[in-house]
Amino acid sequence: MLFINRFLLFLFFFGSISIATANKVTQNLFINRGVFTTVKSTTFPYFAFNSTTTFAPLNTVISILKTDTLIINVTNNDTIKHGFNVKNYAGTSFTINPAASISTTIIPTQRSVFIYYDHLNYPKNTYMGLAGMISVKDKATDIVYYWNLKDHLTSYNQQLAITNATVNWSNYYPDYFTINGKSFPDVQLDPTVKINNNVNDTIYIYVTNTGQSMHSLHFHGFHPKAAYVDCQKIKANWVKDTWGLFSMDAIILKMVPDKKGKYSVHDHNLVAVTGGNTHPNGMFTIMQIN
Amino acid sequence: MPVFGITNSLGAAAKIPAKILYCNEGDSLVLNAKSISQKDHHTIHLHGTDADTRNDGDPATSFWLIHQQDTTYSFRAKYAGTYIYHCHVDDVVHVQMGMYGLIVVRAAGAVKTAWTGGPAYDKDYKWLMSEVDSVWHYHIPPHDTIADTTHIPKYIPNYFLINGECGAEITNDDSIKIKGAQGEKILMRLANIGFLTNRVIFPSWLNAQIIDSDGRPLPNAIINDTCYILPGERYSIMLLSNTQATANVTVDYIDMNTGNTTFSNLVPVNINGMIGIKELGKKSNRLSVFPNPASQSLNVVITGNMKPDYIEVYDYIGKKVLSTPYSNEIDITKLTEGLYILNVISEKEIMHCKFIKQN
Repeated sequence: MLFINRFLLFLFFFGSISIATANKVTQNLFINRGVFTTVKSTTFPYFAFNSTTTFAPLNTVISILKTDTLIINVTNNDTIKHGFNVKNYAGTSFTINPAASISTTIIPTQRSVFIYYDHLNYPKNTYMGLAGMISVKDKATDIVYYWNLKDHLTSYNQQLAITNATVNWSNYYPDYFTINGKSFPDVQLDPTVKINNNVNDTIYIYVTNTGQSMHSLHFHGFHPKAAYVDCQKIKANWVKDTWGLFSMDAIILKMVPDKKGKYSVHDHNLVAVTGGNTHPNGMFTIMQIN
Repeated sequence: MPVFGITNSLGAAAKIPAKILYCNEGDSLVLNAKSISQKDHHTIHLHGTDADTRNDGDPATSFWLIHQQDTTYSFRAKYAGTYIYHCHVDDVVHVQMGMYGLIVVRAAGAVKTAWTGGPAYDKDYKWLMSEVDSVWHYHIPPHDTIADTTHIPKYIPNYFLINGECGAEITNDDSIKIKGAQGEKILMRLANIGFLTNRVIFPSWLNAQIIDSDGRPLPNAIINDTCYILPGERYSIMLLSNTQATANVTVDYIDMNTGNTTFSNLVPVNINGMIGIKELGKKSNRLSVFPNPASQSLNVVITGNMKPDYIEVYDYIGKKVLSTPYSNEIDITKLTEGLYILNVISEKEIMHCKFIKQN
């Protein structure tokens, strides 16, 4: 009950997850500019796709059923031109001028996960935060978690917030690593990240890597199975304890725990388990199996 | 340079990596561990074995060993494959300092197949890739054991390792460089415990097939000369050369943030001679076949007292392609060109030999 209350509280305050059950779902997105606060309370400029005109660092997770038709309306709330695109879904690429809006439609056919992002000046706008997840569930009762992996370099965010500024990506060395915008231990308070389930539950983890870096997610205790892969198609139905995701990869992992206990999940590039050079303030969460 | 290590006896010198631990599918493995460390705590994490929380060696979920403390870790090796063990205390530092090694779970009964009932191999190589940033080793980042935090410097590796060796050491190490014969099936067990991505590129004539990852068979073998191995991943790759040649396997170390190749190791590979003819000669007092290579039929000759019941033929990825009651001549016209393993099976024993089918 405590878990459910916390989850509802989370939705109430942040309004960042839209779960729909109707056949036709409309999702409004606004391109906002704001400030990201790290686990060590440092800040840097950031962009995000939010469901209101108020900036929040977590991009809206759009959650629909495979039988739904999704209509996305995107309004550019920023002062510069932006883009919108759904990766691996044809006909969804748009340029949006300041204060202008576009609309696009997604008709899924199966349990799947897509990355929606700002493709203009790639990777600049995506890196600055404009990349989120569309999760397509098979059934409304599916147990689902959403993990959007991301890496950040404070000095690059400060530089790229300036219009027309560039950085040298061959020198990129991020100082923060997040899941849904949070690092350990803050991420443990996010019920969309922290797995808290029972033995024999069927758990689906929707994972996107919208960062610039590769990430290698290692699961303690279990070998999840790839239920859906969008890029590394060859890995469909593979069963592994360590899942490598290249930049802009998306995957759905299915896990049925066979034993209780606490089990870590973390990037096995162990440098990415740091935040502001402090270990373990990085890409790291602990599952609770009851 | 200073290292931390895991050794098999007290007082032994720490080396990178620690010794390989072997067991067979179905075995229960028990590790007696003792921490001999005046400065920091330690654990042994059984990476990929799906151990329960108590035996996982993760201090975030269970416990660590202080100086002079001992414990046992155990797990059941349900799946053959390649695994890793490493310290999980302040792991970014302790792994970098060298506290890691491989666990190899062989097929049941130590049969030379990738897993029980899986594809057969003649020899295997174990490569554990990693890197060293020598600055970290000479100026070890201190671990605050109260807060369980560590402040680390920028990671700039300057040594790029396979089994703890690099450069000319690799080209002189018979346990790393690949040596085999035409028709010989070589299983490569590859693992990455570093903080960079590895890209391993085999010469095309080695006909590399990726057959398992992280201790689980792939749904379908992947024919690919190139395998990316991100930190913590393991892959098994079967090599079978249909020619005699010499070349190098390239092992790249790729920066995970930029995608740039930081360094490349070249591992010599030398395929010389033919396995089929040599082995048949060696085993001619028990089981032999002729002609070899064969195109239409194969004559099976057994010396000794064996009373064979039937014959099975497997292709080189371990798929059974023929099963027939024993006869001293079998029809192989329906087999495609390639290398096969013939098993002659009796109530008491199984004998096998290889043959090549050609059209």
